[in-house]
Amino acid sequence: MTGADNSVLPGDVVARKTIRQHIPVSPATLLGLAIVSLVILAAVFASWIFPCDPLRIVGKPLTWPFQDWRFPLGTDALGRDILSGLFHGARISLLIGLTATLCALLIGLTVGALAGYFGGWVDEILMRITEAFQVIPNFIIMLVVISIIGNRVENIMLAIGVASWTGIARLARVQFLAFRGREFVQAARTLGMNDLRIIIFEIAPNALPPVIVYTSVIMAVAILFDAALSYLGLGDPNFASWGGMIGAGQSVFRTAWYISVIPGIAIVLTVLGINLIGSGLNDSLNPLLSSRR
Amino acid sequence: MVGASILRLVVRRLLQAIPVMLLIIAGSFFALHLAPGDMVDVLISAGGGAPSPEMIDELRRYYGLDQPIYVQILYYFRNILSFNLGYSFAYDQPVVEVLKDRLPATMILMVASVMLASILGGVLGMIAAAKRGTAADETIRVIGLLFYATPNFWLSLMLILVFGLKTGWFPINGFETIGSPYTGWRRVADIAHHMVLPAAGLSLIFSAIYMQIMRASILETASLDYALTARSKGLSRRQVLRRHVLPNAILPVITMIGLQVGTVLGGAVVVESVFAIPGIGSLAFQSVVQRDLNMLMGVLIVCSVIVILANLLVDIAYQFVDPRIQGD
Repeated sequence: MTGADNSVLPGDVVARKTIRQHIPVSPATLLGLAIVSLVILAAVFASWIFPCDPLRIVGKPLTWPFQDWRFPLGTDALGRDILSGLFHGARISLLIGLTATLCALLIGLTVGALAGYFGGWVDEILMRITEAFQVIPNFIIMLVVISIIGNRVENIMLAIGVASWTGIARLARVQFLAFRGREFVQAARTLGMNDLRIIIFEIAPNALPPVIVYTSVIMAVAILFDAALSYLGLGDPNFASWGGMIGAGQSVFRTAWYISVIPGIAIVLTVLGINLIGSGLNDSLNPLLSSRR
Repeated sequence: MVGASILRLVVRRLLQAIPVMLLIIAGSFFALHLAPGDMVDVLISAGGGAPSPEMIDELRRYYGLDQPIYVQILYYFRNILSFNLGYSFAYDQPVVEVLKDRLPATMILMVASVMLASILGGVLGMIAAAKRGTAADETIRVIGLLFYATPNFWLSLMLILVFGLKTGWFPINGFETIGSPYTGWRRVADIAHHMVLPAAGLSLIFSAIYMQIMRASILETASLDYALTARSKGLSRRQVLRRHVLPNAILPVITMIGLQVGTVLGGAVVVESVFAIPGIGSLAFQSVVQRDLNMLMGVLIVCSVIVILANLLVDIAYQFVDPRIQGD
């Protein structure tokens, strides 16, 4: 009822050796790698370059960019350093993007593996639950989770994870369904291996590549979700975040629009970088799909 | 013939939707139950003053909160299925009444966004496929990648800055001119004028997705044997594209539109908040701020129903475009 059963095409069995041998890394992928590396560097060295708390007032409010060398990108309506906010914001964006993706992977893989491996009524129940989560708009799921458990960083991570796992579950289910009847799985079963070990050590390594490609999409969306939540003021107020900076700038948007514009550019570039890496990964891991281009 | 098969499809889809909807209602019951404080606590904090413990017990009994959980969930199901979504203390009205007021704005925004996204994405995808490998194709691809990476709230702010504050072409907040002096078609035009920027802000990311699918789908369909046959019959490329390729190439785009109705509604939460549009999206956000969980669950249930119905519409559209498809 939510349309086609496999919203993401499951990859064909991947010939691993193609990764390095046949597909050259495209300039677009390199650009993505460069952008994401810069963001990671900014996140890692944030407190070293800007030891002062980015939420502290350090200068004259509403200094435009390139006016004062102490604040190259200017200050916001309260007099907080925007460049420092960008560096520290990179931290929280990447942290939440990464942990929320892991959380979505954990839920999605568990549900998908159980449904695909066991089939029958387990599959039926798990897929109905997955469908219910797909029907509810993901942003509403996050709002519900946050209003129940609060808006600390780890809760936001959990909220985004809970709103993002369904695609992974469907993809993993299709993969496990395809592999569970294969000879090597039967062999493992004949050897007396239990289901849990078969799922984790036999099938998972074979079933994962298309799921890995999909994680880059989840991560990009997770960063956008986190930005939207902090823009709305539902993020953790104890940390500087790009979305929060955009929201804070809105009260003076008419005259000092640079406050909201600058962090947005950081978000666009970061998400663009992750998407470029993701499509590069896709080209390498699913050569059959990418040849259609 | 087509009518009968569509009726069958509708009945089957609705039957499939029942367990999902029941799961969602059960889920919202447990969410309400997990949240700190029950309805009586909310009632007391909203009412002010300090009622006696006896009165609190009395209230709990009145609302059935002293019953075991399986009785409470049955009450909850009975209420929801009779369109009683509870009472909103923040609005001092039944949740259903508030939702009824707020629904039209969101529906208009949603329909406008989906239409804008599919037209823009479809046309750009077609151009990109027709000019495959040229500078035009590359440019469209890059624009698509940028749209795909842009958060909708920030894009909305940029649209406000350029087309609202700097040029003054479009109004930057609200659903219509306050006080609504217009009636009839003037009012429609006024609302449309207000919806341009929000619909653009909400839909550009989706147009990037539809564009990519449209392009890939046209290229794939055009390489199939029947398209080559049509071409070798002597039809021009344009004729083949319009009569033979497009009707088939459009199917994946329609699938995607159905899959993303929920995401559009989720985006509406943010975009409605940016533009101060009184829809159910901004209502969802406000109810989190006001800790009005009854209202949030009401929005959740209404959104789920919208998504299910929209998918049903997509399935019906699918049958018209390609009568061979009987649904699964």
